Amino acid sequence: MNCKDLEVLLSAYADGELTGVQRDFIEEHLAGCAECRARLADYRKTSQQLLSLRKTPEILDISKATMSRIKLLETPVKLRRWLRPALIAAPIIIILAIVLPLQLSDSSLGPSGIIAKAYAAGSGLESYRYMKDDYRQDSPSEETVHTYHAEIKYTTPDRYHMISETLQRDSAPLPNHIETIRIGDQAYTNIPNVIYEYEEEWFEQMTPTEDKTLDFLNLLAEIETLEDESIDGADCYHYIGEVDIDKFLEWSRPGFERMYDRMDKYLPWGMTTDLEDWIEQCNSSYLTQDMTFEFWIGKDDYLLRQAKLVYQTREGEHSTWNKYKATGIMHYYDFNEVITIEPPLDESGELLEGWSSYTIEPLEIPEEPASITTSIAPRKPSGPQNIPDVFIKALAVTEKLESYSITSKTCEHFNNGWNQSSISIYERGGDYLYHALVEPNDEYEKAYPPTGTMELFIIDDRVYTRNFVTPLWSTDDFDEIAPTSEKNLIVLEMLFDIERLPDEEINGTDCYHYRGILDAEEYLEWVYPVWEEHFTKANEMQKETSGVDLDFELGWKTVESIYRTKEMIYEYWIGKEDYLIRKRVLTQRDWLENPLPLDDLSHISTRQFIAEYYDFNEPVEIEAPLDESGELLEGWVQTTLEE
Amino acid sequence: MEKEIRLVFSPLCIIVYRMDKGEVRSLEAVAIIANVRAGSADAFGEIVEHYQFPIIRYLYRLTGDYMTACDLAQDTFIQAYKSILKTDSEIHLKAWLYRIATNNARQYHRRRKILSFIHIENMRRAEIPDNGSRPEEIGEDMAIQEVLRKIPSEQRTCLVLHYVEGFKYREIAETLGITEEAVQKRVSRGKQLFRRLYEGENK
Repeated sequence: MNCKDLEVLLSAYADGELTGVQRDFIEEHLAGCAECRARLADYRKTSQQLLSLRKTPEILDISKATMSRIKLLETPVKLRRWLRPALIAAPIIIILAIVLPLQLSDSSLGPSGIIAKAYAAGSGLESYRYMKDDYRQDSPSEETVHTYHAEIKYTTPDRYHMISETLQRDSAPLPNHIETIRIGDQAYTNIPNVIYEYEEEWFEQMTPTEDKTLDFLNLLAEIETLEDESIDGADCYHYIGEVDIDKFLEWSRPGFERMYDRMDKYLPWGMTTDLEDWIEQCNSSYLTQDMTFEFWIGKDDYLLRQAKLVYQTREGEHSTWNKYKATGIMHYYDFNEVITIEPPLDESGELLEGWSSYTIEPLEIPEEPASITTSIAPRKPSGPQNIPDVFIKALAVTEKLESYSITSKTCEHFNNGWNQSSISIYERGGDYLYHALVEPNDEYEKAYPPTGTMELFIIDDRVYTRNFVTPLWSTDDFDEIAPTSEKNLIVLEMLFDIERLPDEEINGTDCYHYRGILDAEEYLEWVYPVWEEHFTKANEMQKETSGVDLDFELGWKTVESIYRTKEMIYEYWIGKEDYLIRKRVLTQRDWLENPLPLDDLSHISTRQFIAEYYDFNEPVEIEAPLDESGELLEGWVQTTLEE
Repeated sequence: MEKEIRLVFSPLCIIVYRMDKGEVRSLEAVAIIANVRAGSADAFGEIVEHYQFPIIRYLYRLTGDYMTACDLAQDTFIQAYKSILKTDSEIHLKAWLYRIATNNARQYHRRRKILSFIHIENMRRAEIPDNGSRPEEIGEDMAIQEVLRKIPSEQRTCLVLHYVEGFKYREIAETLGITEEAVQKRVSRGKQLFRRLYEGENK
């Protein structure tokens, strides 16, 4: 027998794992074979070395952290939603009535105007450089260590060059010095044995452009203004805000989802963990940390010059990658300078040594919704429209109404379910007898506005507000802004493709049921003067309080883009006997290349605004928020309406 | 530099801890599992407390990254908890925990390869273990760990289970769901490769 064939047995013998006949056989063989005795000695030496691995560093007690995660499993997990931090897309009346006064009173308005400008400025950039540095501090008493440095050059639309240096020893099977270049659909890298190639979209997602950094601004719970500072000689506005972790996780989710898909595709085994579990794993280490985002925006050009993200693990908590504090600083410079990005090729056009290249393939993701389909023009009416008689009568009847109540709901469609995001109640008892309550109903809405529940009473010339610190409105303002029944009817005259649907009963009343699509251009034309007036007024107040001038063009463009990119489908239920409007539903969704049937609510962009009208001409009791002795209740503010 | 939790559990303490609480407690595992199934999550705490040190050490030796090991250990326990609730069949707790941990480590290595390529910010950085040893010992330890990392995961798993965790070949076979012959081969090949690589690194 060849000694080579005995290796496995000999190894087992060295480990004391042989018994009986096998052991006797090996012992007998060893007695007469010097080569195998030497081999046995080698095995034993190796065993000794491996045994030394029993020693370990100090072991953390993970039982507490583990058990708290296990207990979390027992509470039902809230349906996770992916919400793009987007502009609030609501009908303009709601924008005017709610968002505007809120913005005015909101302390973050100062920054918000500037942030809007920063976005605009960032999107106009053609080239820039940027540096990213990471730092780590493992405990308050330890020194901060510089762990990572990268320098990036970027020119629109698709040239990109990054050199990165990992300054701390890393056990990753990768070199510490990495260089990546992208030129159009060609990618180059000095990483050996690249096995994953990147599709277009993935690459775009991973390219850390300035606007992606600005995305963080949408994730902040509250923004605080710090003293102006100079960065690279440019005077900068300087702000800091705490990152809302829930929003952050929602924002980062698509990235994780994409990563999961890719791993599933490229790994020979596929992913064995369930997507939700995997994302939960990814998320879990963020939940134990506080994140703050500090940023510097140039006063002259509104360009983001610097941003600093600090992760701090809360005391007594544990995070996968952050023992105590981790900091990332992004520094942008050389805006619109001439920046050349060349492929790593030698004179004869051959790749330099150590480099590899591949072609970036465009990625097709059929289920991904066309998010902002600005290229698709809204459908327009084909000719003059016939407004049903019922609408004319409804308009006439509504004008004569003395009092009524409205309950309205904003709902978002997600994963085949509806998520109600706010509820408002309006009661109107006469010209100046009015009550409005706006209650945000989920975390997303609670953050916008950060003030939470808003309430307003108008009784004669007295205005009482809660979390709604309205400036002194005149009666004119109020007439314009109050979301009264008539105002909601204005659109009745701007619908096209109107069709009558089967009658339905609403709150016990037989109703006609109509549906039509809003003619966006007509609506915008009508609303422009209204918007202009309110914008001007809002801006005056804004300037007084914070000295910042709002950009009218930008504001109007936002309104336009909402109406031009969204299909607005209105449905009305009108009482058959009294022609009073009982219910109105606005379904809003992106215009799609191939429009969905009007009653298909499956598209991800779909939102609904549902309003029900009731208690027509009933006496409405509206009482001021005063206690028995006539004092204002806590949290309320009283002002006076001017003629 | 001072470290707050330095040597709370020295290697010696861990061994004492295991001897003391270990085998006696494991007899109670069956009762604990019954309690967990009956709806008491707290009962599971005992399992975590008992097995966390060996599982972390095992994962640490497989992955070479201490914080990752702690993290994967948590995941291991959570998966174990979930599965205990899902199944009624009898469980050999120890073998089963190690099996989950092994899978997690394998997953981690696959994930790691990809993640490190796309340089996600602040991804897990390697920790250099500080076990209170003298510098040359640390160097030796790191060299061994480094060589271990280069051994294919199937063989590495067997080596760590046998030498670090003290599993018999039979127990390894049971844990990994393979035959004892396969274990013999993997250990033998793993050792040969280890020796070759180690000598190559330290000539």
